[in-house]
Amino acid sequence: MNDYSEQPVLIETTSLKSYFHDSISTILDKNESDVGDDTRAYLINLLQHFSRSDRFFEWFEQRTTLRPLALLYGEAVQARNVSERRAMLRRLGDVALFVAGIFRPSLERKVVGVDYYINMGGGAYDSLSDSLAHTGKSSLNWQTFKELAGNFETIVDVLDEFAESSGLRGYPTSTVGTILRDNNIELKENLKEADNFSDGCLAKPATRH
Amino acid sequence: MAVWQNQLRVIDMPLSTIQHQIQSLYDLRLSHQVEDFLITDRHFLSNIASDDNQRQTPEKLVFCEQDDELLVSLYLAEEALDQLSSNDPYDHLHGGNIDIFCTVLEGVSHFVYLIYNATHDRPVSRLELEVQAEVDKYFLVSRLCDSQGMRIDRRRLSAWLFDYCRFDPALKPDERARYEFANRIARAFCKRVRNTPDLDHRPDSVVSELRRFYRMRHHEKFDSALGDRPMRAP
Repeated sequence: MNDYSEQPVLIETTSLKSYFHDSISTILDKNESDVGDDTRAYLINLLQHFSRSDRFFEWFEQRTTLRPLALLYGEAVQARNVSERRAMLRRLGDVALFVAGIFRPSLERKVVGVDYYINMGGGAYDSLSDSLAHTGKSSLNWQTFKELAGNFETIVDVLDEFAESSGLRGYPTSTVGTILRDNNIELKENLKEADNFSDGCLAKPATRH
Repeated sequence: MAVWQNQLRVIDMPLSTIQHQIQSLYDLRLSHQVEDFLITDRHFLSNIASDDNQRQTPEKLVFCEQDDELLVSLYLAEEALDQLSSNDPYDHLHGGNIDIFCTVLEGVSHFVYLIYNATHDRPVSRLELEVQAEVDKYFLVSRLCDSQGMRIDRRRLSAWLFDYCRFDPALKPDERARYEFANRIARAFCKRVRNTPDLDHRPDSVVSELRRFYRMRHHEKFDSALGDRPMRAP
């Protein structure tokens, strides 16, 4: 059991949004990152949006969960119309960015690493940007998504630094707790089941090329 | 239908048997044989495949449309064919040949699905090809085990194929995402077939369901697998 009482962090701010604004701006300026104002604003809004776990997680297959990126991609692929496809691409990009930035250390211990999230998220924003650029009839700015796609790795680094400096990783927030529950524990149970395979036929894993 | 010219190898392995099994399961009539479209030369593959990602894959279906003609070739690595012919799964399916059997089966499945849809003037997405190949693997392996008197736990087979498979690390993110999503759809479909009580105990109705699924189009197929509606059980 960790003793969180030894990590006191008192954050004085007027609102969560202004805290995100000040923190992210400080990191971006310090790193001399070439990220425009609209993209900064998008990033701050994203953090505020996902500060509520009910917006980050979804009710899917009769439980609260975070759907795999592949499934979000699949929904984008089989979307019935352009707006549905854009919504799924945006969700895919947002989730990939948030997870890769805020939970990077956790990803580094998994088979699917941070590069996978960067490629998937960057690709989603890039496709979304292309889609928006062709119509020019959206409240969403295609150039913002183009910038998010082009600087995805940089922005992941910024979020990583933010998560580290804010002390976010030291606390068992509901978000962190749910992610651990949804991924790690379930994964261990599944692997345990896999270890019990008795059929000689299925002793070695199948390979997909 | 045309094939990229290549030295065609005379084969002594169960490619035609796999094609026959797929056609028989889904009641398909095709006038093309997979052996006639087979290439095994990796250099030849790299010349005809426009894919910029030249991974060392043991199986790849290459196709494109040119002047209203569909050009198709199925590449299978020489080593894969050698392994299969010296260790024929139709004699005995076991842990030493099931993986390579599934790899080759995937190639033949892609070929059959593409040709079937092309001859019916229906477009096919890569995702559909992957989904159908996974479903083919599950049911063909199940049937082969049954025919050889082996009891195989269907849930374990599903987990082996769809949950614990090892992806080639060289896969591009979009390829990997497509495979993962195809796995998810195939797993959902196979589970629904397993869990529909009337289907599970009546082989004829399972076959009817599989044939219906095979002929469904893109969205219809995915909705059928992932949707909530109960399957038809006569």
